[in-house]
Amino acid sequence: MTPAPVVISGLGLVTPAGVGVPANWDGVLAGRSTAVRPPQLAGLPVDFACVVPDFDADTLLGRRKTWLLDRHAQFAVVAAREAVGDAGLDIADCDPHRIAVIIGTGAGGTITAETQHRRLLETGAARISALTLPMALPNMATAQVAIDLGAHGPSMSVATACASGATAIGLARDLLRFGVADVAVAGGTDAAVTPYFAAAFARMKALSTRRHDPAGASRPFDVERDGFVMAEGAGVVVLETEQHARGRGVRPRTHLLGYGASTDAYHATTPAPDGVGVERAMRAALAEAGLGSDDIGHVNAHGTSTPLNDVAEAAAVRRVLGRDTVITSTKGVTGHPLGAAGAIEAVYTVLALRHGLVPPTANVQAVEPAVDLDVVVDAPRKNQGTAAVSNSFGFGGHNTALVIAVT
Amino acid sequence: MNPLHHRIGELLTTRFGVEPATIRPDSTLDELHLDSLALVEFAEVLQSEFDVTISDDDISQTASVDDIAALLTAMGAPR
Repeated sequence: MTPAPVVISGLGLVTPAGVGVPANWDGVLAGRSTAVRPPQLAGLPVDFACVVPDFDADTLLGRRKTWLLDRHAQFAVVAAREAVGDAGLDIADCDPHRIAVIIGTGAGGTITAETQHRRLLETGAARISALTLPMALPNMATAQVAIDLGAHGPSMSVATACASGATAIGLARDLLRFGVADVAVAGGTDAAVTPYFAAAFARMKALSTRRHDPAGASRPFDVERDGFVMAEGAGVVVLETEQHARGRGVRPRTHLLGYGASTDAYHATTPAPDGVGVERAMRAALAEAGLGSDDIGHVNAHGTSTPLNDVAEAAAVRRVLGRDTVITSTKGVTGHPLGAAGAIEAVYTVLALRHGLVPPTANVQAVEPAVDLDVVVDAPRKNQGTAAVSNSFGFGGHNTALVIAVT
Repeated sequence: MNPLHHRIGELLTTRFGVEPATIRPDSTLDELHLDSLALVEFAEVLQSEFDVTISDDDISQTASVDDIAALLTAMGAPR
């Protein structure tokens, strides 16, 4: 059986750069960091992060729904609604049993879990919320998106840490390719800018400690980078078989041509030396797409701004695509939205291809010599070529690469 | 409706998103679409808002706003 071609027909975003795709595109093109000192991190060793500004869930979704949903699920539902609307998809006109939902998350409902755990310790078992688990379990963003849309096809949540959003898109594509569903709503979400996560990441020395300059802290590929900046958000796409899109009168322009995944099987947090796992994921995705370095206009890097990630990823990109490769990391603007990152950046990659502009990497003053790639800095760069790669990796050694093309 | 009814209605609206227009003295929690988990939360909200000891076993989904007001009054909540 020949796998069915899969297209990306809808986009949705909730990130520190804004709620909705238009605000996000303006934000990443402007190339300014969104880091702030959110009140919930006050007094912690690392007290800054990128948070979604002015996210008023009650206005966006209505109180009847929001009180039942953790913030990470609220993000996912808002992004999913935008993506379905953008696709022009009327669920009533589809077979709902052929609509799949896969949302990845790194942390699940940790705000709820942390709040209710504190309550358990302070006021006793009789006072914790009956909604604790329906809000905190890691499958609930997926479940709430399915409930909201009325999608009755296969659904699941995936957890590959900071690769979760990209893994979700890749797995959703596989369901479509092999005829399990016609439409998939896929992406990633996380809302883990919490004391628990911030303290734990800080103890790992994974976070930037640039406390005097939060706005300059996320600086992927820069010589002075010293760790990532935590963020939150959601990215969701609507994937469809090309046949399904054409069947409802849509002329699809954006194709998901390749998905590659690999595992370092090396260390829980340190990337394999020289990015050999990353290289395998990228090569697998490109082979599937049938594309080579001449076709790839740019790479939207995982580019976390940690000392280790950025050089390991760059080494892999050089070996696969060459030293002239144009690369950007939108995490300079958004910080690192954990399990949402892969999906958010897949959306940015689609936008870069559609607009013919590669957004700049914020805060880069001097590119780390060991990176040795054509890093886009200061201002957007014209994109050459019709395809691009979006890389995402997760603690645990999970590597993913997506190859996207716009015609 | 007395002030207690109004306060109960306000909690149903602000905390649980119940449409104000649907809340009448004889509306049951079931009619207002509060399911069994929501009932547990509602009891918790009443307990902290009115400073009374109330558990989810004290109210059922067939309880009306009137019934809740009577229960709160019996437990010493101010009218």
